[in-house]
Amino acid sequence: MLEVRDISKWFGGNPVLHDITFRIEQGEVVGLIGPNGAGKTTLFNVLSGFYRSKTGAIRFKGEEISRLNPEDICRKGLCRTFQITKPFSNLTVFNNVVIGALSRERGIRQAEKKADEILDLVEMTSKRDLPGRSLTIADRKRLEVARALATSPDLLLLDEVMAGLNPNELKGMIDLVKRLTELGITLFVIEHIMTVIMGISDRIIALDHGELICEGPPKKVADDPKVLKAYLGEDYVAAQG
Amino acid sequence: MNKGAKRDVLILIAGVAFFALLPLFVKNDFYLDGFILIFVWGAFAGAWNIISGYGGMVSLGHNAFFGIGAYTSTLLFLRQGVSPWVGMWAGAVIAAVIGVILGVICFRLRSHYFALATLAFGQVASILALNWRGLTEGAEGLTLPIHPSFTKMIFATKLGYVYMGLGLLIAVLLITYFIENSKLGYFLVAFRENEDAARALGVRTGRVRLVAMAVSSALSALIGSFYAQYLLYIDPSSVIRLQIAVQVALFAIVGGVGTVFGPFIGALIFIPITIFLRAKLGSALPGLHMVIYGGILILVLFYMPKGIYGMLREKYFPSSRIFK
Amino acid sequence: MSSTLFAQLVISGILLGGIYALSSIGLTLIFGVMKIVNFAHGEFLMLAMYVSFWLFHSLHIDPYLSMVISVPLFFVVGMLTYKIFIRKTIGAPILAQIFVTVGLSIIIENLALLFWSADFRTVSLAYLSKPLIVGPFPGLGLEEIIVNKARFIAFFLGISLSVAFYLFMKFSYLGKVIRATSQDRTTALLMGINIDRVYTLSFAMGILLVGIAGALMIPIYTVHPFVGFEFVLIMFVVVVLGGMGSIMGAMIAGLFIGVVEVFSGFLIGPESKQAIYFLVFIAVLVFRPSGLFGEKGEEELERIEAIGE
Ligand SMILES: Nc1ncnc2c1ncn2[C@@H]1O[C@H](COP(=O)(O)OP(=O)(O)O)[C@@H](O)[C@H]1O
Ligand SMILES: [Mg+2]
Repeated sequence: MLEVRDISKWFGGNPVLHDITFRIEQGEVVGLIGPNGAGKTTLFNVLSGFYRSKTGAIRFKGEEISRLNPEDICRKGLCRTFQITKPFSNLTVFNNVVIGALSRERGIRQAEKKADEILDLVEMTSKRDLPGRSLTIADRKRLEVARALATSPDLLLLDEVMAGLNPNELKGMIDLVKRLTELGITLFVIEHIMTVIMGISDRIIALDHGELICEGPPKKVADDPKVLKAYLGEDYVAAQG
Repeated sequence: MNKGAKRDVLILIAGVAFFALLPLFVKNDFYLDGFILIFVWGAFAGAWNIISGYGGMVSLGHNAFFGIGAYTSTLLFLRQGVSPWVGMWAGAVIAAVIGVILGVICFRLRSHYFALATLAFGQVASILALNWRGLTEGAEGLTLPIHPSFTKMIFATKLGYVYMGLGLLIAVLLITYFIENSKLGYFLVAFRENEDAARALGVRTGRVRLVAMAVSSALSALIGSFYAQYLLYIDPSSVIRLQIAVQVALFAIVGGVGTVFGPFIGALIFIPITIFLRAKLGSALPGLHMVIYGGILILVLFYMPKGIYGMLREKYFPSSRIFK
Repeated sequence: MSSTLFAQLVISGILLGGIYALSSIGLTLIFGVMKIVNFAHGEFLMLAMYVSFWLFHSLHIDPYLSMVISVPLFFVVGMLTYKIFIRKTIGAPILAQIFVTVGLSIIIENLALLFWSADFRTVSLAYLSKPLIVGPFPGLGLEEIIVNKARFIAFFLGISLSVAFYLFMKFSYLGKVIRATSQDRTTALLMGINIDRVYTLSFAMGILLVGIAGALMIPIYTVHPFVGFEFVLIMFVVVVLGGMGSIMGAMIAGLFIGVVEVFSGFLIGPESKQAIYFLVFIAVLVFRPSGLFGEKGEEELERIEAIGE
């Protein structure tokens, strides 16, 4: 579904992503982990067309997309959410989702129908007519997912949709993510709570300082000394010996 | 049809009937001029609203499009004998093309920068109109000979202008209504609310704004042509100076940007104030009406950011399908 | 073009540019610190010119001396304007940010029209009437060059004050606080800087600078209610060219625009010269929104803020 080869990104003189290469297969749930500042969001920005990589290639469903704009990438079926949520503040939750649906649906009526289905799926029907700005963090994250879903993506990039939630909300979000996989959507999920990401992912990719340091089944990645070091620091790993 | 919707339709019919019939009973040309000005400015503010209200790209250069319309139809008529009914469409096409070029060049600019760039653009247009004497006669202006005839779009009575103005206004309102309820409208608003989110959801924000810009500038030009036919004399100060761009924005903001009827309501409030003051004071206190304009503008921005119509709508027509 | 004429035009342009520089640095300061374009800046300049005019006309106070009154007066005017109008627009939607100052400019301009009529008013000072003759410089192949005294004084004081202000911003404690705030509002707030106070002072200083400019300009230009509009457009050009927010940029751009104006006025006629620099203005906005002389890309920064997380 997605093949990423040798992409890099610099800000000023600082390499934030360095020669990243990986693949995601149809139907997989892939976790992306790494400490704060590792470059996870930047990787999403490159994949979704907001930043350009000067090197390498990105193939999505067999097609080169690394030169496309975000809007065109979305229309090809690759959609992302934002870690810092970006609701359309003055529009209702419903219209937020309608806009997501419109890029794929023929007309307003169809988009409205789809939006209602999606609000039902993400369990936000009760908030349908509230303005975007009035939502709690948990609901904003849910709205991010709902809007992205409305674009009928084949591959969905979720950027920390589980961060900052209380245990109850967290459980709800995990359930939602599981439901998405049942719909056959391939998922690429950023999350840095290890236990959570291990529970939902088929495979995990770990980033640190812009380098892909480890890749594989959750168990293998969790036990990898490089990952432990990235998360916990040199000393901890040494002490555990 | 539910009760609320019925009420809305009745209010709409009453409103249209009011503006269509009342002029028939007004015998004083001074007041008929008032109707014409309300329609012209209401329509023009509505045109500005499409790109600046819905799209959030604040233009301070719409005087240029208005002027392009006025000068194109007038010059085509004076120099080539082309009927203004045709000339106004030529003006609309030219304005749309220039609007799109301006958009291609300036849409990458954000907020203040875009406003400044359009201000400079409007100013260049007005300087050209003033100094390209071979084309525009500069400050001397252009006079249309008064031979009333329908084909020349010169009407014998004010009523002709009243109804044509009303027609233009209704056209702008219908177009705005249609845009608001189409993909274009949703996408424009999405861009205005959050560009990154809109793009991530597949909204082609560049293309969408170019379409809105083309529609907005073409409509402005059509209204400019009509205004020239009404004045029968145009010069840079009457159809293309910068103050026109400021005034049209001011009407739209006070009425309520990003709504179908707001800009018209703005004109409906301001034009009578101007007329009343002019009737009362003549030229005794020059500038007083502008002081009042500025004061109302600031008060509205601070205390009614949705504009007068925007506020009324929220209160009385919160879910109306007509009063958008 | 003879070399004397060329030198004459360059000198006239630079003298003109000094005035543009001084009147524009207030505008760029305000933008740099609070990200607000003060569309009423020209009207404050107009008010300053009137103040000096009336002080001269009714109390026979020399315009250069009138600065003693203008400076504190305009500082207070700036403070009040900030507290009453501008404060409410910080962080407000873009429409309010633009149109509150547009509204102010409409009000001030038309109040001036109401109170003082559209008459053109001038201050002519006997001791400035004879131009200064410099040269000839046979060594450089130059004949006599004529220098208008009022313009020379305005240039000299304008540039000195601009430089002094630049140094003040660079080295004084307050200057550093202001620059810190303009670079990063959030961090400044976290560091315990009173943002509102910084904004008040910056706005007041911006208006104060234009108060000085008004006093320097009244011996050269006629004042009327619409004079602010003529100058504000040039100020926008200067500020954008210099990089919005950059004081040094505004100074260089002011001189540059002065020279461009004098040359294009001479070469293609005074009417079209405005069109030239507005086209330059649009080109700069489009190709280098950070300005020709600006240090950092304001526009790019906004972009990064939007996506960077
Ligand atoms: N727009 C930007 N400009 C400069 N540096 C940036 C920008 N975006 C991110 N960075 C830097 O890149 C690094 C990676 O950031 P990010 O991808 O957001 O990390 P993560 O999402 O893994 O927490 C950080 O050091 C951050 O400071
Ligand atoms: Mg991140």
